[in-house]
Amino acid sequence: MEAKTAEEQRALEQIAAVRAGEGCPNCLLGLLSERHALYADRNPADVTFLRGWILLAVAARGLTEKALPYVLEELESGTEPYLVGVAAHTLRTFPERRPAFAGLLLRAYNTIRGRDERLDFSAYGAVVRRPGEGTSAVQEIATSLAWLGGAAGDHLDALQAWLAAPNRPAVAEQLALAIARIEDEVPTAAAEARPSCCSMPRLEAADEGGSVEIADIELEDHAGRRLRFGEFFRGPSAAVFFYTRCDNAQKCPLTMTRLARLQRLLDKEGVEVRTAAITYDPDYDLPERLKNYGEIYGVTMADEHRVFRTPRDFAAVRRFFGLDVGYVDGVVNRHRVELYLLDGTTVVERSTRLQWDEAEVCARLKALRAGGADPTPG
Amino acid sequence: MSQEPDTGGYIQWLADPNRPRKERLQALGALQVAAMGGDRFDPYRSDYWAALRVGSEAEDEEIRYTCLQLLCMNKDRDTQKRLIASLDGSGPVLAPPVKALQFLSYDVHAGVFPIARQYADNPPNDEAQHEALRLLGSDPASTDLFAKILEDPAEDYEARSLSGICLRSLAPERYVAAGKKVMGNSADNADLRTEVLIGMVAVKTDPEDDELRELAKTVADDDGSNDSMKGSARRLLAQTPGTPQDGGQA
Repeated sequence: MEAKTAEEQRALEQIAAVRAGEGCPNCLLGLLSERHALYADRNPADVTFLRGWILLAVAARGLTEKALPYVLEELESGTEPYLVGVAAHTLRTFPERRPAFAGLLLRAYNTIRGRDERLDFSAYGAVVRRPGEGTSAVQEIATSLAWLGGAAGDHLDALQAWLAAPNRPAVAEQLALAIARIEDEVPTAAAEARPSCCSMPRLEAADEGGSVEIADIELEDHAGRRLRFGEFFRGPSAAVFFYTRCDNAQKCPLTMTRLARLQRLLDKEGVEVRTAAITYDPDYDLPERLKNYGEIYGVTMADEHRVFRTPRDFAAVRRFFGLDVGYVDGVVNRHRVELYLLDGTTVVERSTRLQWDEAEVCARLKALRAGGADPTPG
Repeated sequence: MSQEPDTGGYIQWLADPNRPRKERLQALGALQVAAMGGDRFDPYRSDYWAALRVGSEAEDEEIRYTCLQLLCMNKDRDTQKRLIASLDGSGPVLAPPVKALQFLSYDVHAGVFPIARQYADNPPNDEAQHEALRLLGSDPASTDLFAKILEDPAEDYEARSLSGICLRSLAPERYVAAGKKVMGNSADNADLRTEVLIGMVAVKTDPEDDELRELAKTVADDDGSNDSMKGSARRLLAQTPGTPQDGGQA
């Protein structure tokens, strides 16, 4: 596949250098931000192949701790067979076999099994056009589980159930190998496993937003009521991003489901903070659509809990939060799962590339609330 | 005819361009049924998609179109790219525009809106224009185009009707503005004027829009209006607060 833009050409040269052993693999990670110019006005097919080729270059030099979240993100939330296959393949170049990887690999299998595809990692944009050729997303997942061996010991039952189901011989072979290694290696792996390896951070300190004037940006909620950003975001709050046309069940639908759970948890714990869900797609997501979408996922919509669009100047909101979202002709071509914790109009923490956990977010908001900010609705 | 094969055999039939057309079509039908078999089909799924890619390049149109459609229903990125290239002339023609647009409409994320706008604005035939308009129904950037087509009496009725539906969903205020022009032209297509009136009743109109109220009253009182138009105009008047006398008179 040939480069279509100068940005892509530069990226491909950078990738080629890393594959050739020159340059630093971690320098490629900047290319994986969805807001990078590389993805502007590129269709999802191009985005998929670009990201896959970057991850494969990382794999060629060995997956690093810094690059690991991008791989785990695909396993946890990805629905593109190519990217999930690349992620499973790349994981095997990580120097450590962590038990936490197994659960994500099995989650990826459950997501992708109904869409499994033949894959070719040998060239940029390569597509398999003959049955029996190349690898496949499911095959890469099974191979990575075999690589994990004893570190996947907690999931032996799931692996045995998968092996008992109909499988391609190449997949069954890897599953049998995984099970055999678990049975052989469990004591060793358990001894080697460090507890700290299993914890994957899902929230991190935020470093965006300071230079953008956000307080006067106008928001419109699910009921068509308009107010300023600074009028709603007073005191501790949580903001998630979504769009109603998102077709990845692991992203926006799951984000809204988690938001509803978070709201119930906050209510149960008596934590008086505000929550907001803000659309990436303000031109399409008119108030009625926002309301319907919120209702579908059981999101509480009231004065303190609103679903918003930005009628004008969504670009300022993008810059303020540093949103990881890209567009092709006004339609989202890729985004990551995003949650932000704010105190007033200051972003305090943000979610990592992994799914955030509502209990952890509730605890953080409780701590912020205890800090004395004003949660009273305005 | 060869003996009926198993699932793996059907995949080989479909992927073999030298196989008789009848057998490839038989394989295609059998595989579509088998693909709904859940877990039992899992071992064959990746090869099934690869075989469909072979079929999507078949000379036979029925095989090619069916494979393209199935791939697009699975949001196959490579197929989306090839169909867009087929539409914009940068790649081989895989299907006529109307079919290519239909197949691409399964995924709003396919990056097809720019080329669809070109087909809607400058169509090779009515069918392609209608398909492009349907596809653009979730594209807020096409509201100007929808308004232009809806307002233009020289445009084809179905294109105007589709544009009205899309505009109402994407930008209700813009729809009201364009709709008023249609309502106000008594020489315009009666069916379209009726549709616009019904659409106006469905959207939240400005209760203080005097121009709209006057237009509705004119239509309701016009002897040239058919019963359906008059009924819709009366409903539009009745739902406008502050004008009970208008609603009563109509």
